[in-house]
Amino acid sequence: MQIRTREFVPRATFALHDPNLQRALANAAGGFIGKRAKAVAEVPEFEALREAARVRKDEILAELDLWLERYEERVRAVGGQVHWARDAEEARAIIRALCARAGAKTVAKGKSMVSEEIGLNEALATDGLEVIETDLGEYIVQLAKEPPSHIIAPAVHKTKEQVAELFAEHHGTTPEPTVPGLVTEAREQLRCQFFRTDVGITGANFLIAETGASVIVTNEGNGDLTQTLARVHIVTAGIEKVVPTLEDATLFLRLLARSATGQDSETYTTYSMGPRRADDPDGPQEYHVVLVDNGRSRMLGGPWREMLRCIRCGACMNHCPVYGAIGGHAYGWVYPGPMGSVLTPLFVGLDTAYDLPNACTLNGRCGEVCPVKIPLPDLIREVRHAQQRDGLHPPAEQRAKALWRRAAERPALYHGLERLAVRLLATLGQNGRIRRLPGLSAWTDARDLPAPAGRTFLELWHAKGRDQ
Amino acid sequence: MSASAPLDPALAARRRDTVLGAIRRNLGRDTAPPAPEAPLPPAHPRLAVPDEDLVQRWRERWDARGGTSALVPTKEAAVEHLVAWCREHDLPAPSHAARPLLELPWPADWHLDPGPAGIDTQSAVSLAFAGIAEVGNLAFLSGPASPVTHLFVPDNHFILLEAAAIVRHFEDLWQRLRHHLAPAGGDWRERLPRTLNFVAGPSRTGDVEQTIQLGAHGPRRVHVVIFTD
Repeated sequence: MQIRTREFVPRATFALHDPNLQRALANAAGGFIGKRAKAVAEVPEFEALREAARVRKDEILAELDLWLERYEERVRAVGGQVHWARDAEEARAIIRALCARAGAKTVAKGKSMVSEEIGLNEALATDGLEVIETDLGEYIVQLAKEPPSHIIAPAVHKTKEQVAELFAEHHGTTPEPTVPGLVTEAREQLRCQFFRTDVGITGANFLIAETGASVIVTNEGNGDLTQTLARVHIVTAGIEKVVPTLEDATLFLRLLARSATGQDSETYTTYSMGPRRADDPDGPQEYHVVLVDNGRSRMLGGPWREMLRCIRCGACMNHCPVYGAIGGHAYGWVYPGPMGSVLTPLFVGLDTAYDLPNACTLNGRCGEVCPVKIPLPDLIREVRHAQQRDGLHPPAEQRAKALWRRAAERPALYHGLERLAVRLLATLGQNGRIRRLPGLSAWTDARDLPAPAGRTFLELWHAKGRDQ
Repeated sequence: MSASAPLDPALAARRRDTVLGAIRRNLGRDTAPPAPEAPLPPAHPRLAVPDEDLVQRWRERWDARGGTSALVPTKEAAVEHLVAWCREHDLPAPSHAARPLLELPWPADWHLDPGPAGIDTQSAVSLAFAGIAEVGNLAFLSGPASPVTHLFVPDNHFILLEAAAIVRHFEDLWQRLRHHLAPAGGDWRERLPRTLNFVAGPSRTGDVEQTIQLGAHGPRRVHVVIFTD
């Protein structure tokens, strides 16, 4: 996928002025937050589950090599093959070679963020393969030639009228712009694709070491039709997806659906173990897993290891006020929102993705809802520190911070300046609000600033002390 | 470079060693840690399921997700119920069924095929391996007698579920599965099916304007008949 993180500011500005996007985002945020809150409220054990998941995932990551080796052994035992890819290019090369060897012409895809990360669709299209995304949201953005804007609701930015226009253009039909009409239209179009596909590619929510299973969860059933009806099933997965046992998978699945869609489970949870057995009437004849490192092993060593606990539920972005205002496309790469503000700079470069962590308001909501307790605000701050150490912050900001530091190290000067500022600002206020501030119109155009009381906190505190 | 070069075994082995080596280096060691002999299933927190009547609990959860269910005394009564259900809801008679169900007393004009479902398959009958009361899920094992396509292709999916096969938690199911695959001991992992499928009602999507719509790609209607005997 093309990296457009450098365009964060213009794309965010554009997003803020796109009425369709603003309507879609307002609609989505309410739904996601309310559904999750309700699902969590029904489970008094939710906090205990989060803590257990945090501890367990850390234990697994500390022995990641061991569990991956065991997993590989079990996949082989059930007749599948494991391919290791050091980076995106190797992952693409392996999958292209598997498709070529199978003589494939068509590829159906279930939802996979790793395949977005490695830019798989573009590579397969270069080889002349017809690639169809089968998750309804992914299908919609594929028709629109756009990347997904949310990791679990890829077309969250589209209104039903826009979807109807896309379908009319690509299917040559005139679907009703209603939700049932559009879903039926997509069902009929994709049904034929499933039955004629050669290769089915899915992601994996988990890999289980003791059984060699790859696990996917879907609500539509598209991932299952994709893998069952194809001759070859290829699974793409990051190396951090492995868990030791079925019981471990259960622990994380109890958190995943509730955090992602507010359901107690998704409609379909599928454990796939190898190709069809000798007497099976259906299922793929070949089963391959492509394990993708692409920078993950490096994350194990530094301050970023905790980020590898991520189970890709999307709760952090659903609760992020910045994501809620600008949507996923502004983030310019595969992973948007708070998790993307940490992951993207690590994948594509601290400078290339400079703006992402700096757009964060550090309000902390993402960390509070993360099902595996990733301290996202701390990690975002850590990315900013790393950018500071690399000298990436803009010169004006660096000068401003140096100036502030000089003042802050001299308490008398600092308090003097503070007294001055507070009195100045108080004169600008009308009825306790400041409606316009020279040089800060971007802020005051959209909201008022409360006017200060005219005296600093310390002045008021000392006055209070004298009164008592 | 030939198209199959990336699959060359020597190259594949090198890539594997590099990734595992990078993991170990970043974990601060040279070799894999000693493996625990038999890793015991860890005891993770569970959801309290205090219900005494697991069938009732399962049905509440299942019905809440757009599925439908009925409770009958026997397998034979389940057949009668399904025939009546299809007539009442004006649904086509099933064309496919799992092999173990073929011996049941179906109406003479129901021709049930145990083979995989095709693009025109409207309706199929399956036998569930288990129900999970915790969340109202069904579990299915794929195999020669139970095609996976029956679960995903038809518009209407009918399922027979034995009441005694409803377990409280997923952990109970894992125990049952291990025993089922190796009843006389031995390695249960040697007999794993190609897929283990969990189903929680009709196929659904929220991808258009976050509005839930049933019947995305899989079945639009899923009806479960639980028999007690």
